[in-house]
Amino acid sequence: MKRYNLQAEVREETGKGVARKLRRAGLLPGVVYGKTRKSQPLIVDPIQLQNKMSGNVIFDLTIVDDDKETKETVMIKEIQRDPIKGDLLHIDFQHISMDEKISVSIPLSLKGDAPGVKEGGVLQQLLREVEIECLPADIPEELELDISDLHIGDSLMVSDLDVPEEIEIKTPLDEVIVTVVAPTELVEEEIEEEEEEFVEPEVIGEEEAKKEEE
Amino acid sequence: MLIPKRVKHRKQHRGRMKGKAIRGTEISFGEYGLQALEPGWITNRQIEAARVAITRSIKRGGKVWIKIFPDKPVTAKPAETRMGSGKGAPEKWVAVVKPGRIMFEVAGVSEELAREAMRLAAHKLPIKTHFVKREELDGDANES
Repeated sequence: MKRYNLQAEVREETGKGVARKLRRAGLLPGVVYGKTRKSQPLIVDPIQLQNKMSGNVIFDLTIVDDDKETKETVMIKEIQRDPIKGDLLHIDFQHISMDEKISVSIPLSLKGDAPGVKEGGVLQQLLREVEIECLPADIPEELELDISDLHIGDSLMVSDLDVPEEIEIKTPLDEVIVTVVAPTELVEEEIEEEEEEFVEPEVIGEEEAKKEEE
Repeated sequence: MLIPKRVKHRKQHRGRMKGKAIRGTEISFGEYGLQALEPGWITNRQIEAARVAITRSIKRGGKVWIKIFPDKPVTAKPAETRMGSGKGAPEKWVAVVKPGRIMFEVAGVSEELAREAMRLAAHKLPIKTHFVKREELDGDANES
């Protein structure tokens, strides 16, 4: 579990105008909240966050309020990004306690080569993350799943994951993670040259209205 | 071609396409996607043409997801008609797409093949798009 230091300033003003002004100045609006604390708007320097946001990371957050400095342990709860540029727009931190269990999503990684793929099958990963509950210190970076025995038609479920005792899986155990399916042959469709007529679907309530009129 | 099964109203207002897409901006099923960079109306014919281009390009194997649905009827007046006398008849179905929207997704193929499939599909669409990979939504390659 990676752990980093991070500094943030208290943000007194809220709203989109303030947030946009901060973004223009190269800063990032954020918020910290938790079960035992009130939510507090923050200003974070996004340069500090570079290369620190992959996976589940614990931050020792120093919150500066004028001359006062408070320290607390937080995790990233949500990151908002621009859908096209990918720029950071907002960040949510959740206050955590190191001796209290929390639930987090852990990425799954597939290990090995599935023989089913060599047989001509297509490997389909249906689940990329699982929800687990454990102490913050026990959070693994990822969970590995061995797929070297996977032939066409075989699948592996959440129950097939090998997890340490201290971790409790919250995702339903019968959910399929990965499967190898037989390849689908492309059926060459006949190209309809004719101009298709516009088909009008049924209008909800139209028939009843007509009947009422009669 | 994609059309709704039932609708509440036969005709709709044109509406506006302000802002960026809020939902459907992440790759949720496949590994590669085609992301819109401009707002626009994508007709069901264009969606179908893009789908055919993708499936033909990846030939066998792989899986394709269409993440937009044309649920908006667009009306048009017949040619050489005088203005007035009411709104025209519904002529086509369109999906309203805003910048950032992932329109198609592909999985089970190599990146090279997916890029080529998406390039061909992009040529069937009336808007600028780019190719995106999972976990790298600020993809670098602008395909059209």
